[in-house]
Parts: sequence; structure tokens; C-alpha cells
Amino acid sequence: MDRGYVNARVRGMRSRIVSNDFIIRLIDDPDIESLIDDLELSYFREDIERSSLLYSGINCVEQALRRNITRNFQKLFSLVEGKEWESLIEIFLSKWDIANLKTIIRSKKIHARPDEVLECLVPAGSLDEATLIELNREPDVRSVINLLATWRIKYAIPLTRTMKDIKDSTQTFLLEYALDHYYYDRALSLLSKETYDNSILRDLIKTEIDLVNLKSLLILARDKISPADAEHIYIEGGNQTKRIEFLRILENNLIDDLVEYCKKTGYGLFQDISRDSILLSRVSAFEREIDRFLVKKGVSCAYNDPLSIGLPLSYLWEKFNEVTNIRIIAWCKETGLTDEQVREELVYV
Amino acid sequence: MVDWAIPIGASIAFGLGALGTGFAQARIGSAGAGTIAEKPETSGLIIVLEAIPETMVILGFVVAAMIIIMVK
Repeated sequence: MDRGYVNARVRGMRSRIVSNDFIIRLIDDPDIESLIDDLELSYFREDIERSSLLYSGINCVEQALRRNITRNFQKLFSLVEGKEWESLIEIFLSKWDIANLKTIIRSKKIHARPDEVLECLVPAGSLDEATLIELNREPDVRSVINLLATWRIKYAIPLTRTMKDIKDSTQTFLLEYALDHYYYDRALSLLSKETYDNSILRDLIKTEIDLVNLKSLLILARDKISPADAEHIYIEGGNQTKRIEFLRILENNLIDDLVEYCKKTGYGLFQDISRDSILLSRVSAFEREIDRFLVKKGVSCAYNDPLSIGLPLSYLWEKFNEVTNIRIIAWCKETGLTDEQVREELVYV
Repeated sequence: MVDWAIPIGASIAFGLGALGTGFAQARIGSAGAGTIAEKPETSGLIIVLEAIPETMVILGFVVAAMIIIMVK
């Protein structure tokens, strides 16, 4: 594969990610309309112009960002399609398939309108917009799974297997866990071959598994869920988290234990978390710290061999972080939060 | 009897220079194509960068010519 070509294209795409100064300018904007004006001056112009034909205000920003992330991720995938990096990028982009399927499953559970749901889907993975539209049209969860199986889409395997254990619509969360387990198991099995590129993505996936486990642990501890109920939530394959430790912390349900455990994981998490947050058990503060760590880890992939998969992976994380930050700023403007509060909420700048 | 040392020396000087230039230009060319695809405004710079390895084959040619003309 001609790595130089892909590398140059990715570096070109990366150069268009908005700068920190631009993010600060967006924070300083007084309202959502001026934020849209500023976005029109950036690389988001085309997406903002298109979405402003149908939407206004926060919905315009949401749809423009959705379009932008889909367009860029699909563009990167098209650059590596049919080449040695295809499976690696496909593994990363499958995250969006999982997120989309979870959204559709949840929407069926709460009987949401299909057109509303469609606006929340991001067809950046292997499930394209047409597939998602058809899946979204199905009346219930069982029909969605049947359609996936008919089309021989891989996600039908874990869903069909789990569907047998579901007794009523309140248990659809089991399908979501099944999707998560399937995604991580599949990713690790595809990355089992020892190559330099595989090792970069495998390390990232293993770190992500650890962090997902820690986030689950935080929420489960807060909600006082018993270890027996939480066992199937734990995801195998991480670098640092162990099932025994995971369940032991849930038995005691002490937030201090949990923070100490996170500090010991080797990721250096929660060093800067204030004592107030620990005392108040503010899960959102911990979650934000974990998200920041994961984004930093993803972005730092670019510091590996310059012609390795590290650069495309780093770009995908940077793009995700950029869009997430702009969304946060837009929602904070919409809800009237102060600039200081906006800065606190940002993932990683 | 024909002295093969002079033409062999000249061909090595020219051939290796040409191979090196070809290898370098292939790498620079593909990366340059990628760069121009994303940023068309860089095309002038890329053409200059693409031409730099040409110096190797020119030097190889000069050395080969010197071997043929000057070595007796």
C-alpha cells in the first residue's frame, strides 16, 4: 500500500481541524446565531449552509456537525478501502454502527418517531444512511434484528443470541451490552496478529475497554447495583481492569475505594479531581476526566511511526473531539451557561 | 582487447543515481499527489520538491561522463 499518499491526505485533512483559538472564539460568542456565523467562516461552511436550508439554531449546528463528521470519516475510509489499513479503520468506525444500533433499539423501546431518530444517527460506519433508514422504519426491536439477519449484517449475531433471553421491553439494555461485547471481542480477535499497526490499535482498544469498565463501575457504584446484576456489564480484554476487582469494589460500593482503584490502574486518572467531587460523588466529573484521557490517548497515536496507522487514528480522534467540543459549546450557548462553565465542560482542547 | 572497467564504472555511477532518483521521486510523487489533492495551493512547492532528487541522476550522469572522457 502507498502509505505516503494516504499519510499526505490525512495530514491535509488534519490541517483543517479548527485551532484552539477558534474554539476560544466560539466560546466568546454571545449566542447561537453568532456561533453559526463563525462556523460559516471555517471549514464547516459547506455543512452549515446545507443544514441551514432545513434547520435553524441549535438543530442547524447539530445537523451540520453530523454531516461533517460522516463526510470526513467516510472520506478517510474511502482512502484506505481495499488496502491493508481497511480492516483497522473499519474496526474504529464500527463504533458508530454500535452507537446507531443502540439509538434505534432505544427508540423502539420508547416508541420514538422514526424521523426524529433519523436526525440522531451518524452513518459514519459500515451501516450507510439507506440501511439505517430502513432499520429505523421497522416497528419493533425484533423486526430490526430480523432485518439485520436477513441482510446478513454481522451485528445480527450477538443481537439474535441475546434476544432469546429478553422477556420484556425493559430488558433491551441487554442487547446494548451484547453489542458492546461483540464490538470489543471482534476488534481484539481481528487485531490478534502481531504487526506494528495492529499493536497501536490494540493498545487503544484495550485502554478503551479499561476506561469503559471504569465508567460502568462509577455508574454502578453510584446506583448501588449489586455485583450479581453487574457481572454481565464487565467487558473482558482490558489492560488493567480485572473482573475480580470490578466486582469487589461493587460489593463495598465506596466511592473512595473506586477512586483509589482508578488511581492504581496505571493511567494516572483522577489525580486532579477535587476532594469536593469525591465527597459529592459527582460521576459527571469523573466521566469527563475519563473521556479526556481517552481522547488524549487517541490523539497521541500520531506520535508513533509517522507512516503507521497512528496518524489516521489520531485524525479520527481529533475530528471526534473537535465535533464534540463544538456541540458542547453550541448546547451551552443554547442553555445560557457562562463562558467559565463552557470551558469546564469541554472534552480536550 | 576491450577495457570493460570504464563503461562498467560509468554505468554504475549513472544507474545507481537513476535508481535512487526513481525511488525518491516515487515516494515524493505519491505523497505530493496526496498533498495537492487536499491543498491545491501547494502544487508549486510540490513540483520543486519532486525535482530535488533529479540532482542525484544529474550528478551520476556527470560522474559517468567524467569517467568515460577523463579516464584513459
